[in-house]
Amino acid sequence: MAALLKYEFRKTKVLNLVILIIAAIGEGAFLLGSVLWADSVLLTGSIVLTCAAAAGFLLVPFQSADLLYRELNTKQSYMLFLTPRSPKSILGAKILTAIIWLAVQGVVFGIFSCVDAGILYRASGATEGLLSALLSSVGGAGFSVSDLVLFAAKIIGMTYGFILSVLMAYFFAEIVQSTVLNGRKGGVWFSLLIFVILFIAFISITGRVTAVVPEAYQFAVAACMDAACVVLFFFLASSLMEKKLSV
Amino acid sequence: MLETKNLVKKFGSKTAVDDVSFTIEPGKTYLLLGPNGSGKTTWMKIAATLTKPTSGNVYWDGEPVGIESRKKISYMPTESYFYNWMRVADVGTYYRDFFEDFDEGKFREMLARLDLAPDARVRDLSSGMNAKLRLAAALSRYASVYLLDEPLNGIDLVARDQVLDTVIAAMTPDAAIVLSSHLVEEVESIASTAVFIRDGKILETRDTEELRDTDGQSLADRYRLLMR
Repeated sequence: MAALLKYEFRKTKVLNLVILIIAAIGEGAFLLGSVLWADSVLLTGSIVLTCAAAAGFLLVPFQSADLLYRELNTKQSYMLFLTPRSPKSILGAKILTAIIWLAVQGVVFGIFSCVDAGILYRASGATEGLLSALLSSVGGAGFSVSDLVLFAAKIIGMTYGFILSVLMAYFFAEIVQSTVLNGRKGGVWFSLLIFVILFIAFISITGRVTAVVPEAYQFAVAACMDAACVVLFFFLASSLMEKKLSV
Repeated sequence: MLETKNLVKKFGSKTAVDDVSFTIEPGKTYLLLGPNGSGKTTWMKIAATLTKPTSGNVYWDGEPVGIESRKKISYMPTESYFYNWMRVADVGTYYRDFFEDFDEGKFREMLARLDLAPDARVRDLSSGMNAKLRLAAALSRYASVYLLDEPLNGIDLVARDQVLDTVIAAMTPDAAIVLSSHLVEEVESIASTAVFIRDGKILETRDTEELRDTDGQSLADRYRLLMR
């Protein structure tokens, strides 16, 4: 697994490092703007940071899906499938790489946003009353900072769970496509079609299940559904690779 | 050791390998001879576990080929397959990371023997140089079976001797080499057994010395006779 991860990181590092470098530049601009009281620099930094964060969360799964597609449909697949590694390890390394890159980006952007929020809070000379008002606008009366942290963690967890379940479903769609079409034309569209069908089915099932559970448990149920989706498609995809896939 | 039993591979309505059975034994050099599309590459890809058979199978030590057999079978595909970002030396590092039987020293020697610069980019290599790199990577393992698919493809006339010398140097009494080629005359000297294939079927398996001694035929003569 370590060797597979080493090369998965090698294959995906350029895009991720570019995003992180752009984010660092944006953060630098934001800090400079806050020190110099230059609104335009501060605003530019905020926009760059927001764009980098959005690009990071969208491009990491997109890059993973694109990479697997190319590796299943070109001769570069031999680099993976000639090695004495199981399909589970190969697929596991790919999904783990995406998880780690998403986590790295999450940590970096999380630190940046905490620092920036702290600076803005201090710079604005806000009072505790204003903070309470801001918190109330997010979560209603009595909403505290710890509630906000918990709320943010839930949102981040749901986003990560959703991204991973979507990515795993897309991996499965690509492997079905490669098994059926075996490198013939139209593979991207066929993968997309399978994915859309799976996605609609998944959303529909999740919606129906969460609708019948009490609101307090909906987050936990949705998280379990995402995890089940990841596990189900992981085993289906690796089993298909092992038994049917020719490259 | 590597046994093919009733192997069939179909691509749609076309049968690429048609009920093939034969055994690869250690210490021998096999030559798969047949025209383009005769099923040589398909058999090798199945033996290397890249392609799944329609029915029948290839067995390594009694078990269907799979992850375990990849540790013992070294395959040189006929197409380039290295990552574009790699340099020649990176290929050696990659093989070292994945194959316990890979010898980096042997790889460096082969690069020198085949005039390959370690710092050259894989994407900049000519098809002939790329073929040499694939050969060096495959033969730098201490495998039990070497499957070399058209190792002379894209190699110029002078460098062919270089490649064949490299293959000869890799021969050991406990390993088998299986070479596919349609350049019969060029590879005749290194083969101990010839397997003639056409339309996915084995027409004949012959010991090359016996063919010369008893039938008075070279492999090329026999090939022309059978493929007519």
